[in-house]
Amino acid sequence: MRKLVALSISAILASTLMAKEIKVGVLQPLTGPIAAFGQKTLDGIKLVHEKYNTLPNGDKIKLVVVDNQFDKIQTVNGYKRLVSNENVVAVEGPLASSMALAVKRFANDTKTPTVTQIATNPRVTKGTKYISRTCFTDDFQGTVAAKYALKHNLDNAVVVFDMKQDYSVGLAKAFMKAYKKGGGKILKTLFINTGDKDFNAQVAQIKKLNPKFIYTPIYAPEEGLFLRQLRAAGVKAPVMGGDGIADPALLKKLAGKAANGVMYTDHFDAAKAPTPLSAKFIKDFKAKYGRAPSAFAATGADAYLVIFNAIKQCDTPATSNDLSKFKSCVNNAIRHTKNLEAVTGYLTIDPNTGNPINKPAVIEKIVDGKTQFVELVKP
Amino acid sequence: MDIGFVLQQIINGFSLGSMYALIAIGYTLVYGVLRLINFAHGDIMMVGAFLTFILLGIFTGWKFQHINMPLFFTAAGIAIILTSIVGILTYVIAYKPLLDKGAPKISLLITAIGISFFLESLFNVIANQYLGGTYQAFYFPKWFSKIIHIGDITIPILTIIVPILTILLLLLVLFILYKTKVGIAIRALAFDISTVKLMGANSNFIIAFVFALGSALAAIGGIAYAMAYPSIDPYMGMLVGLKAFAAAVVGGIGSVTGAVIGGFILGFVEVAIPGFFPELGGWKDAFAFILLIFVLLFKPTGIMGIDFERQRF
Amino acid sequence: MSAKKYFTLIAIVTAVFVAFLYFSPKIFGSYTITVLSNIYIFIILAVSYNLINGVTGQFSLEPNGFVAIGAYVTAILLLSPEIKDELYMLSEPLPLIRDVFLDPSKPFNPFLALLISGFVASLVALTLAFPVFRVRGDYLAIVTLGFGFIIRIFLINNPEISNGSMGLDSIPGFASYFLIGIICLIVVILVYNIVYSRYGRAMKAVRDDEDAALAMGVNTFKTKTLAFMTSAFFEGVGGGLLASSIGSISPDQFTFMLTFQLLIIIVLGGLGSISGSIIATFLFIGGMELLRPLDDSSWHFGPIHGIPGLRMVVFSILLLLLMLFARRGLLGDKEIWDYIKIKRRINE
Repeated sequence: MRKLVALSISAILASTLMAKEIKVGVLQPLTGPIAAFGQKTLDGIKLVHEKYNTLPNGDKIKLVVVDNQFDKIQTVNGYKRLVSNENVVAVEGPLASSMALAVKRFANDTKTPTVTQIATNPRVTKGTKYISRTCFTDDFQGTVAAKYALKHNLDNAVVVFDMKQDYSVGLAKAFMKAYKKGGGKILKTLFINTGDKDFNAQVAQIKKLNPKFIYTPIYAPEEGLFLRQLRAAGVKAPVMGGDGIADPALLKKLAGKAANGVMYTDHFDAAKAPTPLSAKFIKDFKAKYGRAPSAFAATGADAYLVIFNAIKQCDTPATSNDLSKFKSCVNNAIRHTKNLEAVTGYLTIDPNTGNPINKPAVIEKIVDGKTQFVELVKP
Repeated sequence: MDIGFVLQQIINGFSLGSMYALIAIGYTLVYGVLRLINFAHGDIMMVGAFLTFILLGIFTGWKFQHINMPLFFTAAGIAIILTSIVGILTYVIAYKPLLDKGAPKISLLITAIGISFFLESLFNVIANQYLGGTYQAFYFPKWFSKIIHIGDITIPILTIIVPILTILLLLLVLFILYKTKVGIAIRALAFDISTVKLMGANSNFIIAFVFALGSALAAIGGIAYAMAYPSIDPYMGMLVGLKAFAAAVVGGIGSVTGAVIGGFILGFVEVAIPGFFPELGGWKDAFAFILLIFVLLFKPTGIMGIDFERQRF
Repeated sequence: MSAKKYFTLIAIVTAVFVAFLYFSPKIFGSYTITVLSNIYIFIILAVSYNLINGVTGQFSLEPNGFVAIGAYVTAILLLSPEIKDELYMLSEPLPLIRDVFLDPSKPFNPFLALLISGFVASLVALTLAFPVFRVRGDYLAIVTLGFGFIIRIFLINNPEISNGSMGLDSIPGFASYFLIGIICLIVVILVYNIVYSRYGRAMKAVRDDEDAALAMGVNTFKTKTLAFMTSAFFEGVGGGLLASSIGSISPDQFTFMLTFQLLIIIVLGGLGSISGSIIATFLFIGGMELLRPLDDSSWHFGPIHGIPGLRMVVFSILLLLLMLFARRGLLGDKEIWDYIKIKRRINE
């Protein structure tokens, strides 16, 4: 009898200990100017979380989602709320570089492993052990565009970038560096401002210069109108952008026929699944949301998978006092991610820089409002 | 600098300036009568463009195909009327109660900002919830996007129509102000509001008429703007509105002709400076305010220089 | 209030508040503390904004510009040349910008940086005062609004000064919770003293009737400029604190939205009332958190569903209702203790 009681007590104890909940924070812009990106990312994360939420020892992972409103104060508040009130083990996000830079100090202070999926600014992971990312950096994306242009003998170019967006400025700079290095000639850099609708001044300049190639690392709302005015003025040179214009539907709406032929670099092509997991993800995504996953959903899923994989490798803490030890183990495991099967490919993270190694980019082209795969570029 | 390039810039400047001018007239009218900067006026322009878009959507079953002239002008016409009603409503709901109480001007300005934010966030919710996104493409008959080529210069048909329309509307407004009974009443009201009330004129009706007229012009400006740059969003009116106000001050606030001249000047500056000095392109949005500060420093009454003690409009 | 009573009051408020600052981190979690320090910074901004808008009655819309200036000056002063070399990616920093450095590890340097931020902001206010106060009334609103735009465009277009749209990060975090609280207390006491001094009376005279004030021998231009500069000074200091407490800044943080929030706060609290502004800051930031579900599409209350963006609609309606029905805000232009006094008198 005594034995039975002891057994059942230990069973109860074990089960309560076993069925622990491990919290992972998600900090994304769900309202505000880039809410659409945040929502798409969250769709991807939720989908992989449905599948990968139980650890080998039976513990469950719970997502705690916080909206950062694309505002720095809210980002810092949200991050602190996740870390100190919710006691999360790791944080996924935030997606924009400026917001990721804002949490850098607090990630260091609280030693919280943080994985951002699409903050492409090189500075995000510099000088910190606790922020890692699963995407390539602006330097690489700019290089890909430059190499593509040079390969096709488009050896003089005009760059149009958005002064108001750090993303745009960084990408333009990376492109110009790589392009000049490869022997290309930058005829002129022109700038626009977010919210501009009249690009006639820039178009007039471009027409005068008659470049072979036009690089536009800007966002889709401006790109759409820019293309329309550019083509109306009779400029026929090929146009390429970054992942900021990866919104074919909006481009088609705004530019009409002028959107045809525009190219952009992106993280992922839903028509070409690089891994079995990826194929499954794309299928499930279509079934659940009725559309193909965007690069945001795919990279969001990647970041979650990296965190999940890292948690799997660490012992769940028995008490909350061990949380910091657990966090440092998770962080270490994130930094040592090797050949992890994810949505955009097999991920390996450089332990020293926190950036993925050998992450390829795809070049896409818009034809009749749909994307068409052009090529895959490996570093 | 080749002559074709210069001509191209002049044409573009005219076209952009006309839209500022159409909106600036509304500012000047309301300011002349109530001495109030109607901060929401820029958003009224957005409302005009959005309503046209929504009506066209309803007419074509949200497919936006086969938009012909009669259909477009019906939609635009109804939208202009609805926008005037929105303009009247802003007066009746937000300004009139405060004016009746004799509230200080600062309260009126705060309410104006409140209305502006209300319209923006309301249409933001409508666009996101029911139209499928903040940014919408604006559709209109194909004829308007025709382009005339003269040598090296490309002239979209719109860039000729809009300035002509603006001049015609200016003449119409001047006619109303100087040759009709309502117009005389408006000028009287602008001169001395309390005396006009004592004379038994229905000041509320006249002020409402001013709001309606200003809003209708803003709606036309908004529709023209949406056709020239066919992407609309709920915040499109904010900056354009502020710039148009600056244009009205530069031209001489209180003067309708001044508003139009100010609008044209601003249009030229915004096109010409980035055109000839591309490195200043990033400053484009600041030109209006820099111009404004200079005007305030050297000729506070603006180019047309209305002396409020003696004349109106 | 007699001088003795006044000093007792200040001493009590200070003691209670310092005790709260000391004990609150031990009671609340770090998230609550972050929200509280945001509230203190907003109190600094709101109280100083109220000085020009409420007390002097000059409707200006500039705080985002001055806060931006303060934030950037503090950041540039406290970042070392080595970090700046690494930070300025778009263009080399100007030699002056690069080499100016106050080592934040030395005890008084952060305060010096804050003071310089305030001075730079008020210097800009002084230059702005000349075109602005030449004309009366509404022009002020539009010019100050334009000024906010110009500052942002300046920051974006001069990467050799501000690193453009990339902004600055790794700003030393000297602004602890305790420090922000203490500075907030000092600013409130200073502004209170200004409002109820001879200058404050001149400011109110300008607000109530500028012509009469002029006739009574008040130099209205000087009064307005002084109020404007003082307001700018504290907004600059607040901006510096904001930069240090967040750790990274960029031009898009200082949009008209910031001004709009402060405007709601001071109108809600009552234009001209310092204690009103303080109470309203708590209500506003608390209310923002309470209304958050409105933006969340999974939230619903009966038939009403949350829609992203709905919160802003509700906020603008609240501002409108406030202006229409309770134009004087919570406290009008009086302070909370004035009401307590009146009540006591009625009871007697």
